[in-house]
Amino acid sequence: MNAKQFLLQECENVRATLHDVLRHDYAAGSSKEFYNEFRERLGFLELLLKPADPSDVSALGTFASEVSLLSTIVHHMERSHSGEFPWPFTEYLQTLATPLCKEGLVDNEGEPIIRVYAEGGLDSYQINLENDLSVLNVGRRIFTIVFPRTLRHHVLLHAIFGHEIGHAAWTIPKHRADLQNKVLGPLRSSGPLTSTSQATAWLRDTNAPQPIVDLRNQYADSEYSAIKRNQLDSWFEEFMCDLFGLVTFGGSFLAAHQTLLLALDPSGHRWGPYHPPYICRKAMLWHACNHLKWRDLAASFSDQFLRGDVENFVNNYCGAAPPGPWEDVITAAQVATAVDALQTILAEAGTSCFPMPSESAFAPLVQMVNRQVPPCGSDLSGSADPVNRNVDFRHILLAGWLGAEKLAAVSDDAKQNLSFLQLNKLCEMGLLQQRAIDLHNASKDGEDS
Amino acid sequence: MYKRDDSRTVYRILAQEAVHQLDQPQPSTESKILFTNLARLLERYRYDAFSSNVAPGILEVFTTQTGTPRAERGEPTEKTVPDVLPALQAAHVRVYQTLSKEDLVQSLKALLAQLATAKVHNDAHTKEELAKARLFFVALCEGLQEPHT
Amino acid sequence: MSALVKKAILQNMAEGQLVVSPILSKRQIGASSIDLRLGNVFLMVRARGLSDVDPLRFASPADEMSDHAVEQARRQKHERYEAPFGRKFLLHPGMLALVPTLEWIKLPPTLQGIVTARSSWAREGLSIATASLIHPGYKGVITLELANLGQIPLGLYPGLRIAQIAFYSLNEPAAEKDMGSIFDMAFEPGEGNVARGDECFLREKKTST
Repeated sequence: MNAKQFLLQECENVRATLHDVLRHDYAAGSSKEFYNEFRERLGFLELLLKPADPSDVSALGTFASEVSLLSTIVHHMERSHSGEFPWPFTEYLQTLATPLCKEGLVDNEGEPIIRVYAEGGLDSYQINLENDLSVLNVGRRIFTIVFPRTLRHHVLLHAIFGHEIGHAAWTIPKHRADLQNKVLGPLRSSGPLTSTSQATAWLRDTNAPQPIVDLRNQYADSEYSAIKRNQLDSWFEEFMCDLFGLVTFGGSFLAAHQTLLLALDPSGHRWGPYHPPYICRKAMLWHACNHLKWRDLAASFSDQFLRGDVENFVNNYCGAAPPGPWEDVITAAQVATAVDALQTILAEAGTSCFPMPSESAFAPLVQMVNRQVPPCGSDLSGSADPVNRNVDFRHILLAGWLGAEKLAAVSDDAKQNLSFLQLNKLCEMGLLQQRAIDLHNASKDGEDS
Repeated sequence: MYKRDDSRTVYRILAQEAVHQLDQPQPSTESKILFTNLARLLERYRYDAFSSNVAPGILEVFTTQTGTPRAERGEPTEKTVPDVLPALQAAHVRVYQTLSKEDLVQSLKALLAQLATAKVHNDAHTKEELAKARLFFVALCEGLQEPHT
Repeated sequence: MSALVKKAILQNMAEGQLVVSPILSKRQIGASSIDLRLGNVFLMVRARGLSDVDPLRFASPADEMSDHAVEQARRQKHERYEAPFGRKFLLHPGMLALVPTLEWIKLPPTLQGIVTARSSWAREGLSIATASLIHPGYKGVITLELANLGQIPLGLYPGLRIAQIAFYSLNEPAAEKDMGSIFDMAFEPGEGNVARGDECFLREKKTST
């Protein structure tokens, strides 16, 4: 059996696996989407492969990679079946991300197919985008959102996906051009990270925080503290994606960001080939919070308890004090320009930025969490004709995070404190109930009409 | 991240197939994928979006016993298509020298849309455009041939 | 002890004592009950699973069964299906499914609830296998044991009104120590423990001759 024959056989294997995949049920988008996409891809691949010259090693190598990729993705599709992830959250995430990720292709549309599956490891939050430059065989791109299996129910932490939306937007050429010029441009316009030599000098600064000095000393290889061009580019893409997270998910992103990143790197000072130190990211977000007036949110509430809770939250996750000089690598003015541009780009794409909640909309959600009732737009007034509200799911997450800040505190049954998992499940339930409310409110032939 | 393949070969294959389809149009779902991918290539050309450097995940985890950075993570290598861009530019100059990049891409995408939906206009102007498009893809294909050693 | 009429139900809710959330429509509120809707999770006994329901399996594992065996039996007993809104779940004749309500219920110490099937579904053959008693102080979703007593499958859609809960006032508030059960803060159906407190009846006492 030669290479070409084997590859044709493997196309059949992928097709058979695709059929197997239909044994399961799929939520948040039916299986029909990816089934049809796969069939088309397989058909096109076979169309090219069948007449290929068996001695054209270059082409066969390409086809081998294509088949292998299909084999990988079809397995991921199988893992994205119902019951493996919180589908109400995923539906909301799709609603947020899809307008931004539309490609302008031959039929002027090109919405990606978004699937979700669980992976091991606390650092497995990511999104795979089929953005490789060697695009032979893709009709609609398949975005696979990956989250840690053990955090399946932790919808509060899933706010981290706001960051991943940034990476997804980066893959759309039109958005990339705008992001490059209007967001990354300002972020990179000045500061200690404008060039690799300056960045290296910054990292080797004798006045750097002691944990940085310790890390430099710990890694004997001086290459670790030499910043390379691609590394710097990657760092700034990460800074940009953090802004995406804040602008799309608001305070919940900050809380998820801090909780996850500091859990995995408690020092907050480690850096790597792709990601800058957490303290630098937090410093940038500190400026962004100020610009987006997060510190004014509490003052806008008349209820003193709510005000206190929000103040506490903002101090904890936006930061109570300005960042130190070493980690403050991007100025307030640079961040403000980048954030304003990002909001405009998102609005033009049809993706909604996080709306600051009003007291009338937000206070009931917080009260529900305090009462250990799933937070949603449910009318708890005891009205004979209940009026349930359409609530932004991101406000539900924020209310959840306020609750997380005082797990052992206010509830109408002080002895029964929720665990963080239970709180997450409460919010997960709230998202589900909100979907029901949204559906019912939207129905044209509502039973109450 | 999904690992992919050699872009020079990929775009050569696509360009060859495009020429074949223009010579013998066979509207199908397979040909639609072909035109979709060519449209993607043109979009990248239009916005100069040829580099790809996506980080794995939200942060890196250093978990080796000695605490040293994972060697296998390596450095981010900017994946570019050093051969495709010059080939595109050469084909552009050779066939559409009077058109701007923006106009070229819009014009070609409009043609690809007609081909993908099997709704090709039957007028002299369209026929002329199709002939030029064919020359463009022939030129692109030639520009992406493996260099002879 | 008396059943609460609509006015009293709504008053308890207005005072924050009683929570039924969400109530999507005023038509859910009857003269003396509130309709409950189907949730999104269905637990079915797995056909290839356990050979029988043996209370001994629920008893504290001593030397008969390891922790692994107990937990494995617990996890493999049911097949779990999740249906988003708009997706149908078929309940075949003779089958039993554990499903949660869409609503979150919170009862004060002064009330208990009783859940029964809605008559419109009962006429199609759907039965809530037992009249569920919801104890005072309960909070969580309610697990419904749905059985199809008819001859044809029933198509169940999450969100449909499937049951109703009536509330009864107690002659005095329940004592705090008497409230609380293993089903509290339930987010989805779970199996009960049929052996709890009765372990002494599960093993033969050896008598000396």
